[in-house]
Amino acid sequence: MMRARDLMLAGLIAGFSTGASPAAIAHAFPDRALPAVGSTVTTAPHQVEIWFSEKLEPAFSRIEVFDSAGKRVDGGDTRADPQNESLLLVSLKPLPPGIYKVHWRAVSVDTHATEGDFTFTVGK
Amino acid sequence: MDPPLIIVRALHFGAELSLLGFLVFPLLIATPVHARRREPLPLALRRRYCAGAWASFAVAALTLVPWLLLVALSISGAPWHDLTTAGILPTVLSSTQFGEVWLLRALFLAALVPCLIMIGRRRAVDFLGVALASMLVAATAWQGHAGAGTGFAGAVHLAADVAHLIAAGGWLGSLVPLAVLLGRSRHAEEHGHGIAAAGALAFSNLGVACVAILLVSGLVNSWFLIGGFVALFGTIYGRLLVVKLALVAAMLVIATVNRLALMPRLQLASLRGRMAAATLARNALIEAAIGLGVIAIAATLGTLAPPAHEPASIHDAALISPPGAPSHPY
Repeated sequence: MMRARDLMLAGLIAGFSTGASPAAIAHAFPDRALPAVGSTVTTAPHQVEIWFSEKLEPAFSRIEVFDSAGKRVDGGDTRADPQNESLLLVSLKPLPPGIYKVHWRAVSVDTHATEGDFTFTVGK
Repeated sequence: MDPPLIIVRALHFGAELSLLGFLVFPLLIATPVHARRREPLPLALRRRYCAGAWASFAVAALTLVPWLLLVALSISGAPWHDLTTAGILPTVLSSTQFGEVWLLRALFLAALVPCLIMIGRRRAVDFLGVALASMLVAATAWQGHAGAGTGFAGAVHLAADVAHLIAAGGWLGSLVPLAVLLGRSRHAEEHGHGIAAAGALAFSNLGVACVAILLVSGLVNSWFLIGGFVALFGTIYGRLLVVKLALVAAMLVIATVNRLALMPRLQLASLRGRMAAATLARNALIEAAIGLGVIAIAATLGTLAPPAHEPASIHDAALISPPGAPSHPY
């Protein structure tokens, strides 16, 4: 009898351990961007900024910008704004007119990664 | 979804809840209940609580490093073999919130070893053990959604999450230790019925306080994560939450039966009293089993995006395209 109860207790401890519960977590989604998604700007921007819904881990987040030939045109220096940990930005090389594609990968402080892309146009 | 990561997190966090329960219950309930009858905590009980605490600690310690490795993989998007060579682990540990909290966890677990070795010998050390275990449980708040919020609202969400976690640990973690107490009380020669009655009453009071905290903090959390009644029934996340609440309600029904029907009988120094103790112990274990379901659902919710943070408009959705799919043809 004691044996069976001990086994049941051991099983419950094991079961308890498998059941567990991290706090509900979410993903960082972009709120808005500058240059805005799909927009056309007349002067070439110096940087791309994306505001996200949550605080990010800049060490593992990145923004890459490509021209229509697929060449990288960003400075490779993705960082978070020191005053706003949910704002990610990257500097841009001087951009001639054309269509540019932004690919971003954001890792939220809750360790979930999201990614996506959008385009903007530098027009005359 | 990432099954290995979910399983490791689930094991780790469940072990921490269990550890908290096996430390809190003897200190705050089992020992005082015996002390009021001028008895020390029986050796058989102490051994069981000690074994429960060590077993829980072992699971938590064994899952700690795998958890770090799996999160480092997911955060960096790098392949397995790059993990040790590309400086990813040091970056995770030094430059991410997850990594910093992980280091704290390792510290708390290490500090718990002397506490567990000396368990039951000095009150101050036992209280330190409870404090460390509570901080372990609370640390999860900083590694989830609540820890990613900003501003005053983020702080409120975080505080609610910490309260929710500790209260869950206090209530759920104490169910099995209560069953152990009730089981042993049936073998006690004298005062067994008094101990069962006092222990059950003390646990019941603790349970009421914890449930109150769980409900209030749960409401606050849901406000931040769901955002409204439409999402509650209109999304998978919301529906899972409803199931979780239903399970908690089932546990509360059992708890009510325990309090109103069974607990009064525990005072009887007769067969009827002993049978009530046995039934109560069984009910506590049933509640614990339902509690596993609650925790399993919470673990699943943890991998889904809460409705309040999903993109609401087509404009927002245009910002997010499936990885790998071209957004505009060139």
